[in-house]
Amino acid sequence: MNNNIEYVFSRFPEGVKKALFLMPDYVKSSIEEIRIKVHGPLVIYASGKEYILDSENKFSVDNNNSRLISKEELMNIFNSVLNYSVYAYEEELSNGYVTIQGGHRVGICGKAVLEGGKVKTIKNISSLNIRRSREIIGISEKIIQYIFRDSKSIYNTLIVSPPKCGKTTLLRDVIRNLSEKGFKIGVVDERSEIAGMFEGKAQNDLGSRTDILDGCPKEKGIIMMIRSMAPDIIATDEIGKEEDVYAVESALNAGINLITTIHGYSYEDLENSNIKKLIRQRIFKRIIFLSNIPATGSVKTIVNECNKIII
Amino acid sequence: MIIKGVLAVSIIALSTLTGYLISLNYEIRIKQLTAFIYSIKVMETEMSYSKNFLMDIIKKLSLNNEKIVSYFYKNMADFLDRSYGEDFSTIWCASADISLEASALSGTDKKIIKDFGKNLGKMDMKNQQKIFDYFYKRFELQLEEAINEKIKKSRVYKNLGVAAGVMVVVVLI
Repeated sequence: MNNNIEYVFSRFPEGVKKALFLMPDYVKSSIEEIRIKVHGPLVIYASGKEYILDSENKFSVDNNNSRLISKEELMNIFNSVLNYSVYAYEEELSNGYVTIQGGHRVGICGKAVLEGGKVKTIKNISSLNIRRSREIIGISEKIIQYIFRDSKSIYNTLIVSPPKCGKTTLLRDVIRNLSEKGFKIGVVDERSEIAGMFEGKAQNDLGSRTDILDGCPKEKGIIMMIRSMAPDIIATDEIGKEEDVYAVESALNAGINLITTIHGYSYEDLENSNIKKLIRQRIFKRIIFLSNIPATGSVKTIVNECNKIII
Repeated sequence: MIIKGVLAVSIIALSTLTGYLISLNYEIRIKQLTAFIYSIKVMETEMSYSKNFLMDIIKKLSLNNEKIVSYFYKNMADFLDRSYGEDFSTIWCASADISLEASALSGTDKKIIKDFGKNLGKMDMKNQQKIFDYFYKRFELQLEEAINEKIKKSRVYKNLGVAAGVMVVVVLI
């Protein structure tokens, strides 16, 4: 799988590219985000620290000598990251982000252009946030035993955490793990974050028995997946809209198990969210809470449908 | 006498060939312009229907094309591969400068080709389409001019070549 961060580095202008490649390996391997702002510094977030590009094209934790990025430089990075093919990303741009080779996500800010009340595109781009797609094979090993109902079926599972705590990374490895164990899995990857599909190829390893419906809204994708691929399990990321509830119910009625994620801190958050109906119906028999303490992706607790702690 | 005859024939042949080669440039310019226009039509189709990346389109255009146009796209693909992160139009112009130097294209043709690269790949398809339409018109005008020039000047240079050769022979012999 080609989700190497060095692919992203290669898309930067010469001076910045050199600085990125010269960073120590331990920083490179732990990069979470690269943030770039017009007339602002280029900042890398890695292991909870900020590394700022200075005027000598070197990264340091010092904020005093930061090099400001010009509009031209930002546009060059933007165009280059998009393979000089903005037209090929029209639809994604209207959502404010694009998924590039490697499954990394580039968030874009600027002036939104509206057409018929909907965002058509973004112009006058002012900042970019390149979020690294992380694939950590094996991180689901510790929790996978709690997901199994028996050897042939699993519990409906919900992974819960605030942003940047590793929900998608864990979900991805759970999918791979279950797929390798013989389950047919249908992934509805609305934001191309789970598989990181690029030109029809998954950039992350989701296992050999996994089918991926890329870029499709969850509420439609789940129904399509049920009808077209007859999976044992449907996996999707970040449910939370009211429409998602109907799609989840349809999957359950078809006898398909579900693994999904949602933003939140506690069981109470779930009871007050748009999926409260599913929580009250005790659909999710396993709810995994993640935290970034002591490290991103740490399992805080796993509870059952009644909020009773399992671990 | 025989030597004089051979010399005369050689002079006439040489000057006729020179005239022919000069006139040939007009024909080659038309061929190169036509090939370039064709290539940007392919580019437009690939962009609008297949949404293929510009790099892949450029690589495709470097194959099966008129020699100079192929050479231009091949250089462009090589430069782009080495210079990701730099401004696309700078790379495009650098490739045009190197690749089109030996072409039969006029200075204006080359300038239009360079201008064409300035906004390539930087906008959505609707606006990209407008850029294509604008440049089709500019290239069509250049092509029209090249055809007119060929009609006017190509025959003149051919005739001039023969006439110059005959004149030199008459003067010398």
